[in-house]
Amino acid sequence: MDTDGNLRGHGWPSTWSIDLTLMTGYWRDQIKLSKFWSLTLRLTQLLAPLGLGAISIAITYDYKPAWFFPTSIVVAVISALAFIAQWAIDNSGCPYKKYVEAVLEYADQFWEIHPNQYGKERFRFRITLFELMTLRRWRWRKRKTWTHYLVARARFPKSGQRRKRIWFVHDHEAEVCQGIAGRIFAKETILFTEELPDLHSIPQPRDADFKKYATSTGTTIAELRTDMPYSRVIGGMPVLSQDGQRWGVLVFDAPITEAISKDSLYGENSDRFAMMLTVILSGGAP
Amino acid sequence: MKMITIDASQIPSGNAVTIINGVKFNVAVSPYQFPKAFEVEYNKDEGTVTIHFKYLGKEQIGEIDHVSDQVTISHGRHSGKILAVHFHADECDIKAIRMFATGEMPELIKQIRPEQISTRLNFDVAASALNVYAPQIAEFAVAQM
Repeated sequence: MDTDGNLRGHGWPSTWSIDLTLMTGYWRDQIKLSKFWSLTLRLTQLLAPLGLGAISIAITYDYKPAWFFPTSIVVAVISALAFIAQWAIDNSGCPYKKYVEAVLEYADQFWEIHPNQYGKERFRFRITLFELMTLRRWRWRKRKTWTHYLVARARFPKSGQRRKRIWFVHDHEAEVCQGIAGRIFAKETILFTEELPDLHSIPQPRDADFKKYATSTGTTIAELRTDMPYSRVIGGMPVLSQDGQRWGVLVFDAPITEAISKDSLYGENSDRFAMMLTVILSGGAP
Repeated sequence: MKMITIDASQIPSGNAVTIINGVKFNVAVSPYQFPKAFEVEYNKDEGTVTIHFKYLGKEQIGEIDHVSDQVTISHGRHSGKILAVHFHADECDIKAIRMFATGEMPELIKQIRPEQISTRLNFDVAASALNVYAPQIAEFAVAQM
């Protein structure tokens, strides 16, 4: 990391391959059709027996108009395509997305009714689930690039924004990982920052604040100047799959420094829903 | 085999700190590496007592580490956390087992000090849990003899 807090010496992979992975990722919502199109699809499927019947008639009887046979084939093909489209729509989207979102909401409410042991006020924080993805490296690209990255998959409270930010990570070198998510991933522990500088201070934040924020969170100053995050404390824990391999990271962040402490991340609360996530993500529950 | 549930509040957890790029971070053992229970087993043929540590998830045994002549430790396949401790014990010697579980074994486990911080925290927690629950472990081991 250089003096500006920029990551150096690691080639960035081309972003189109990542965009493609995000687009074709299985975690998106199920495709939803409008009433008109879903009705059209259903009605087209009803043409299947008509088309097949017409084909069999055309084969059996010699006396038929010249257009009869080709038309019956076209009808059959269109109805077959409708069946394929219906199948694709039914199988689109991540089957566990809503369960994971339910777990995050559960966690949020659980902390609401179980304030920490010192009787302090319980501040709300945002919970984000990141999944570890593998970057396909092409044979002809000899240069060493990042091999893994973390993508935000679910968040509570929900926001309308698309979560496009990804964090490149290294297996165990926390120094080169991006973001707090990367640090948690590399260290495999519950980890949270000390107080982060306020980037919205009045009259305006100092350059030193940006620099400190960037080095602590593993981001760049340029990124911070455009994003201008409100988070004053960020922490989280790893999420493993059933067999003990790293699946991803759960990140908490809040604009109030007291919101995240060891008490809020430690103990029964986090145990409980770490296990729920593990079971769901390993394909156990639903 | 008998099960002993670990009460997390009885086990001291210090405030660990790690430094990344000159910045201090607070760390604590992850919920997947905090042992939830012990299972004590006595193997009559070999004369060994085995203490299994139970965690969230079902990680399989990977490396097996011979710490001393008497003690063997099984590590988790992916995380390297401590999954079981095997040690040789003479029959019906409850005092020796208890002494061993309170004194020598936590010391041995703490001495290993793995490089990865998550495993180190896991070893510390496992050692202090052994320390706290030594009397019960010894009792359960002797009951099976």
